[in-house]
Amino acid sequence: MVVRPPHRDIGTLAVLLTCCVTPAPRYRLAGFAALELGSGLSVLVATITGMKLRLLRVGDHLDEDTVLVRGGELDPEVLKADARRYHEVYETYGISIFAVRGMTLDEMAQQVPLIRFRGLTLVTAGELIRSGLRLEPTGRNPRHYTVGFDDLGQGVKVLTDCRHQVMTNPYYDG
Amino acid sequence: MEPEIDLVADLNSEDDDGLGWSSLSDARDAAQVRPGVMLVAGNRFGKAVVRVMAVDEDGQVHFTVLPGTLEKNRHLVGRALA
Repeated sequence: MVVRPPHRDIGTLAVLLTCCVTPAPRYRLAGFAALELGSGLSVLVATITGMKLRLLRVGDHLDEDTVLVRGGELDPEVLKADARRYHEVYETYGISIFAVRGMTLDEMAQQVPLIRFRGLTLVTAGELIRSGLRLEPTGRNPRHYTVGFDDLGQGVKVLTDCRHQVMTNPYYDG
Repeated sequence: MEPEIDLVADLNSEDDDGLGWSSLSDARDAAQVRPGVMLVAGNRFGKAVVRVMAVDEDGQVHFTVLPGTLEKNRHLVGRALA
């Protein structure tokens, strides 16, 4: 069973356990506490927040040399706004990026969403990981990854400081 | 002239189903953002006409990005599925 967003307020332990074993959990466990019922009897109670969790493609790892591409440039203010928006929904900071795998960069650049960008930013998986950023395989699109971090200012700074290239998208047409 | 952005979004962002997404809090007029409607989404690096597919209780807005240019799709903005 996968708990879907419309059922966000479920708080039973049964659902908690289901969430723990499902391969695509959608709820975050906020914490545990022991509830004393008297006579030495206590139960473990969990709280579940309404924040959504990402579907992670378990076992999907990238080689260090894999190139990732993101539409637009690494502008700190834009990245902060994007990461804040991600935090609103997923309670962690994240920036989307695409692995160049299964098709060429040219093919990706002429498809949505990259075709809607005049400039493209390229960075290697190794560079991101060595910088201490998380590279999470999120969602069903095998090319989609999320660059994750816990501190907004620091995370964006580390990301913008990564060695990267910016190229003009030859397929962008306005 | 560039059309105004109705929904600030990072067009790179994908939800778990591969749809683009943003948040109602980033809409110019949240009342305008409802399933089926087409509007301009993006930021200064990338903009597109998108069709809103769903709006979740938490304000997450899911959309599909039309591949054509803003100019070509400008006439679709504001239209909705019957």
